[in-house]
Amino acid sequence: MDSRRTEPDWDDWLAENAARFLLFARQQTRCGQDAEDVLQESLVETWKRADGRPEAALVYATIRRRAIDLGRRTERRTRREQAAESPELFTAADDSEDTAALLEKEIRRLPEAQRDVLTLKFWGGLTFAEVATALDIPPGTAASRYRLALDSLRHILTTTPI
Amino acid sequence: MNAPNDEEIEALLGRFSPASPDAALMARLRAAKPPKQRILRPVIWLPLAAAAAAALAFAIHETPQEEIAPPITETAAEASPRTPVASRQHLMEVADLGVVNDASEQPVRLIRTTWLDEIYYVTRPGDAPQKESQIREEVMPIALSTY
Repeated sequence: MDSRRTEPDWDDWLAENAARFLLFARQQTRCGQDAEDVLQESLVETWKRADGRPEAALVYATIRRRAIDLGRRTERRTRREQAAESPELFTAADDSEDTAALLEKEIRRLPEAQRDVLTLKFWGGLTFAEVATALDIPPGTAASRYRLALDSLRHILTTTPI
Repeated sequence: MNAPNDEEIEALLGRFSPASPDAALMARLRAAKPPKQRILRPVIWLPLAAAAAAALAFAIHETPQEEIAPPITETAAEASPRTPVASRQHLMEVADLGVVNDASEQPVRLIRTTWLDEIYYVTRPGDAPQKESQIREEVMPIALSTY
């Protein structure tokens, strides 16, 4: 039991999961610096609460809540400052750079509600029940939003030459 | 391009992975490791818990009981009847739960499928159908070939 809480386990957990948690934090915040602050705060908070590796759904839910809190605190920040930075969200296989650029653009343009579900389901590795818990929505709504997100991507892939 | 199906879109999305945090961020996160939680010894928290329980019991005893209003229920006559007119089912997830033996001691693989049921209702003829989405899970045994 104690071996789960040793220092290497924190490092291992970060190495395994930091990228997917950071992706969600970047989508929930207005700039890269905010994403990193929210990520660190959420990881530390959930690790403490679980006294070891927390459930992924709990981490995502905490990232979302902390991002909302931060957004409220920084409401009066200038738009220029908020939009100063737009970090790269994904890395793509070498042979698909054009498609990667197109898809990344389209994923950014998805309605926030659909993008959150797509991110948590696909890159977050959560089930619909876990997505629903993380986003505080009914499971049916989570599944519907996932389908809508796929439909939006299908539409753009069909109508845009790659 | 022909319209890709869900599997083709998911295969395309699977060629992307979340961008890795840079070295500076990883170093910052590693350094932020939370300290190990200290566990309160029972000798410390037991009297505190007893005092809290006594205070709570006293508070409950002192609080006047309010009459609880009966829940307002909609009568059948007031409720507007909805008629299901169409439905669509989408397979959303398949999870392998493992192999077990069935009642006849034959091995079967249990698969949990998650479906999104979209049910369309109309309240009055001529109205546009309203969609309701529900998640449904089914666990299905799949017989395994044995030799």
